[in-house]
Amino acid sequence: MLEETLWEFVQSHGKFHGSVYAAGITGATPLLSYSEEVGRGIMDTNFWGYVHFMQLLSRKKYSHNGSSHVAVASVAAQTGEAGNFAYSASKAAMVTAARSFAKELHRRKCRVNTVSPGFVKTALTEGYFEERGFSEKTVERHLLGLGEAENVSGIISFLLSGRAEWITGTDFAVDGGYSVS
Amino acid sequence: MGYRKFAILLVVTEHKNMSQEVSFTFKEKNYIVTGASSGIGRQIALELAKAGGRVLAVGRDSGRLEKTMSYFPSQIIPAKTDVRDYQAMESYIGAFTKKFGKVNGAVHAAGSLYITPLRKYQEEEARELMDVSFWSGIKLIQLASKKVYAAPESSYVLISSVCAHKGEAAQFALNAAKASLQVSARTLAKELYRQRSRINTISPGLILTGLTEHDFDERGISESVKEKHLLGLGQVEDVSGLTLYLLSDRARWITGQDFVVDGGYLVSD
Repeated sequence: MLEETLWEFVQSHGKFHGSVYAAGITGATPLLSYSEEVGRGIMDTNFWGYVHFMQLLSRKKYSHNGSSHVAVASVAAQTGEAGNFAYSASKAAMVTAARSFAKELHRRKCRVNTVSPGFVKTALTEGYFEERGFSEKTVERHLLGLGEAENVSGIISFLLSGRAEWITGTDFAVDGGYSVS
Repeated sequence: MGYRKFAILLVVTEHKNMSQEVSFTFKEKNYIVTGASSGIGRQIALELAKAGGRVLAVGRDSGRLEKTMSYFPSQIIPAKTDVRDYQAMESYIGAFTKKFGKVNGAVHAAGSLYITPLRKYQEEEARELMDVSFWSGIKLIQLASKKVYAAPESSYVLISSVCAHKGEAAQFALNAAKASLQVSARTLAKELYRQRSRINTISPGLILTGLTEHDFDERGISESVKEKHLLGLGQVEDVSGLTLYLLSDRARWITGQDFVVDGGYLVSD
């Protein structure tokens, strides 16, 4: 299905110069009571979805040489948020996979990076806060406050651009100071 | 005017084709850049000026500093001093802010490079390296963030290195100085956020600059080091682009982080 959509796009507009994998879901997975289905669902969308997406995008018929690919991971990959192992693990898996892909795709001068945001005010994190309760502590740990979507989109656009043509296999944390506080 | 146009053309043609996809505006913004007479610091000073900013360009080599200035004579203010001379640094910053207003940030790109094998390193060289690369960077941020000199929501960038991650052989002093910058940035982020200011480091891989070229000549650059940079060795503008991004308002939610810019060096085997 995804492949058909990509192929249609390529046929009418030409090959891709890059991609952003920002699809992701979350859900509570406390060790004692997590649902296998919820946990696997998170891993499927966040990690496996990214892997299959990149497999398609890395093919010559879909992407130009020198194309740039960015995936949205999360600071949770570093911090391992409580009650959230599946989400944290799925994001850590993406960061590591991106490093592997960087080593496989550099021959075509293609670049692969991830961006790890802190808590950005989106529908996804609102749902997270509703489900788990709003923690003042989490907010405070963002030294510069909670983020806005454009705090993340800026650096992603930069990574897609030619100014980042020597940047590959790395993860950029964009988190208002969350991971250092 | 004719001279100036020619000079700007030189800036553009002197370096490889720079992507036009990203453009910056730093009009009415003031920055301090150390290490501005050559390499990465010079490129950052030039690009800030090109984007409309004013730069206090700190460097030791007055000839090369003058040359940097000549491209943007009204925007690049040369400050000929050793970064270890804190008194001179502060008086330059004082004069600059008095004339142009408070500074919106600073970049520490000054560094010195000595090989320091454990068995036969020179104490003096190792300490000089730590002084120039690390201590002067901290002092720069201390000065630049003083209330009398600093605009709110300032941004600071320290140029670290991939060697801080890797711990290259025979370079303990350089590795240590660059690692010290990173951990200090994480620390200072927690102090500077109260004025909504930010601090980050960039860790470049091997960049072709005067400093490293000299180093290669001395040691002969090994093929394996080159190969480990999956996308080839870097150019100064590979680092200056991200530096300007971090200085800009688009990065206002980014602090306390290190950004690896290395053509894939750290991930390669």
